[in-house]
Amino acid sequence: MKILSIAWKDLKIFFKEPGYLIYLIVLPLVFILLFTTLFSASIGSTSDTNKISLVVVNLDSGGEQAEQLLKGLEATGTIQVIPSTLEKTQSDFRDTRITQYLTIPENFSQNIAVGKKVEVTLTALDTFSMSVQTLRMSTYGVVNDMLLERSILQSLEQFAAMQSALPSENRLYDPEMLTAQAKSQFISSKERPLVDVKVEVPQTSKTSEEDFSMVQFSVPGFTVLFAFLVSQATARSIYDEKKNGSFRRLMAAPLSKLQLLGGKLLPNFLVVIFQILVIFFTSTVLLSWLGMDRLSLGQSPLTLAAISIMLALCSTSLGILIAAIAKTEAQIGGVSALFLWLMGFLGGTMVPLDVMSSPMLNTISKFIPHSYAVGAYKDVLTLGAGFNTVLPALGVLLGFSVLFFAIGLWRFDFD
Amino acid sequence: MPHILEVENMVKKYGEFEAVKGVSFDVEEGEVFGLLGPNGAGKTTTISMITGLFPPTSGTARIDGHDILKEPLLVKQMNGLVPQDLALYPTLSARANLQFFGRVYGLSGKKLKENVEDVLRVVSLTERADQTIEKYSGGMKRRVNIAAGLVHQPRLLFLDEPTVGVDPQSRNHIFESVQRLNRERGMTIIYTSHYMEEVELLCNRVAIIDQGKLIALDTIKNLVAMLGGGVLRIGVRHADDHLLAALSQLPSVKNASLLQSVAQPNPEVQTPDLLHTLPAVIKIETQNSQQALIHVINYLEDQNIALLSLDILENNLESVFLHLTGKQLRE
Ligand SMILES: Nc1ncnc2c1ncn2[C@@H]1O[C@H](COP(=O)(O)OP(=O)(O)OP(=O)(O)O)[C@@H](O)[C@H]1O
Ligand SMILES: [Mg+2]
Repeated sequence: MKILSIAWKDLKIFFKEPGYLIYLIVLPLVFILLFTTLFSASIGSTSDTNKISLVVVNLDSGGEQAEQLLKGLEATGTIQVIPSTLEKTQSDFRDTRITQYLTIPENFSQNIAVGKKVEVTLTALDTFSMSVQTLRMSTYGVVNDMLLERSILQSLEQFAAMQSALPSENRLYDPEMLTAQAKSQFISSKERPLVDVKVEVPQTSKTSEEDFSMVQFSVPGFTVLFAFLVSQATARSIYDEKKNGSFRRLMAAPLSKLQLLGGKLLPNFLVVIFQILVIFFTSTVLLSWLGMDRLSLGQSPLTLAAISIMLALCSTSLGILIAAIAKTEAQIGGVSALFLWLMGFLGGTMVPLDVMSSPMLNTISKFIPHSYAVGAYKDVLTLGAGFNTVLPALGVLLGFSVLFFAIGLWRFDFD
Repeated sequence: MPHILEVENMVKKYGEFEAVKGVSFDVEEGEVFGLLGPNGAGKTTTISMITGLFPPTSGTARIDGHDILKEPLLVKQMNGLVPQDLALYPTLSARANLQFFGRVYGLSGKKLKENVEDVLRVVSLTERADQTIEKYSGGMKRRVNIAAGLVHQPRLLFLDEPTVGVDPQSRNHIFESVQRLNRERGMTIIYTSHYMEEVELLCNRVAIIDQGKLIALDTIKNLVAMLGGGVLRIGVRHADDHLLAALSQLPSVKNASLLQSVAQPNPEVQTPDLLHTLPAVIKIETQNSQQALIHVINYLEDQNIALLSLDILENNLESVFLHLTGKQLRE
């Protein structure tokens, strides 16, 4: 009861302070919106009204199949084909004047004609953007439709040839035979597609099959970053309590240390949970109202809840640690904020760790709780992982929480 | 009367520095007990140990027979503390502050509501109770600060210099409240101050504490009576042993001595200007200040010694303190 009274009082003070609300609730939303809109804009517009421009290097110029592919791409209505030469395209791409282009290889038409497997290449700066995914799917679709069309034509021709050999009274276009023939062609083209669309990312030479959008990255990152920033508010609240003298009253009151600390820490936990709910609600519901990519929640909401609870716990115990260690106004304010933002950066909340791709930074991130929380969220949100996959990360977060709490309690100054 | 508080040889050390050097005293149930001493004497430190803010380096105290170190939660429930500095949540209203402190002492529901309204009446802040503390005047903040120590109706109330920096109106109001709480509700009050007038007005008994030591403990009446008939302070251009001996011989004079320790280096302690500008100030303790005054003036006239200044200190706690320490309290 007394724990709840203290927590309730602190929440009242917290929500009366517009600064906190902006810092801990509004700011993460602003960051997520900015990252989601700015980054998808720089990578390529995904909006429906604008066509995606696609520079195409046709090395099979004059080839019948190549021409047909280009027409097919235009016909999708979402792609605007811009033909170009290989040299110019490569230099444009190097200088990032264009972010993606399609290459049709030499002998494209010829190889298709003789049934040889061919490959068109979609070269892109990265595979994160929706536009690259859209292009890949469209190209794939067009190529295969084209082939299907071709197969059917081929079979009709074969059939015609067969028929012409027969006496004229027997020349029947038997629909059953026709369909069977078409079907078998269709199935074989699906099973062994002759044309494959390869996505190439030159810098990292990685190909990715994930359907990735910026919101899937920015939400876990900023959720974790700002969840840990709440511990600064907790340390601040304990500091204020000591500074304005009310801590003396609490010490003079019949409260056990457990009740006193519990009451001071519970709000941290609740604020983080509230923060996460607001961020996830905004990212799933509000973003789609705004016509932006919405967050996909993955397969297991319960696992998300478990991660969030561990995250809140870890942030809370970091709160008592900061309160115990930081003694001055500057340490509580600027220094701990700097420290938390730095931890956030090193823990991969702002730039993904694999993008940083530095062995040293990756080693450092292993000692930072943020990286485990971000990783677990991403596993569930983007890869559709379940509880068992993130269990090790949850364990590590629990370990950090216990460690922070123990040191915090040991160093805490009740005077 | 039973002792509601027994303080037993309490010591507090901050590193090498001994802020409280073994203080012992008893407080009877229902009295207003004064703890008087200059800045830095150790009053707040003593009260803080008794109310359990931090443990004493050695010694202990008992409240209603319960050891504060062994049964802290039980004892704390009986105490009310009004800290020297404001100890409130500035962004919450007075009522919200009081409700919170009530809850911390285990009050809830109707009882909580009643007690909060009651203490708001005691400090006359019912009308403005829903305003945030930030917007209050200094005196009003002080009154809420007192109210916050009263919500749970403690048996024993510790008031640590409740009138520091308070306008005369609020000050009188605080005095009245203290007297009413004591008379009407039988609350035992431990009142800390370095204003001797306050202690004289409010308290039955007083403990005088200086440099961490208890130097006197009695009723005010007894302490003053111990001094006899008051003190004269005269300023002369030159004082020597001969003059001091002659003054001491005069009728109604108990003792005359050169006052030296008055000009303290501590800038916070205001010393009257005359002590700096005059070459010599002599303190004359008397059996009867009126009669002694006549004899002193006659003697100085006979001897052709110019009287540069004259103070008559009727006996009070100030002169008790002066007598005991050779120093003045503040003011
Ligand atoms: N936390 C501390 N660390 C070191 N010394 C301290 C500490 N708190 C108090 N002191 C010292 O202990 C002595 C007693 O302080 P205390 O606050 O008890 O005095 P006080 O009688 O209440 O004075 P005042 O009338 O100014 O409130 C002072 O010399 C003070 O400097
Ligand atoms: Mg004090």
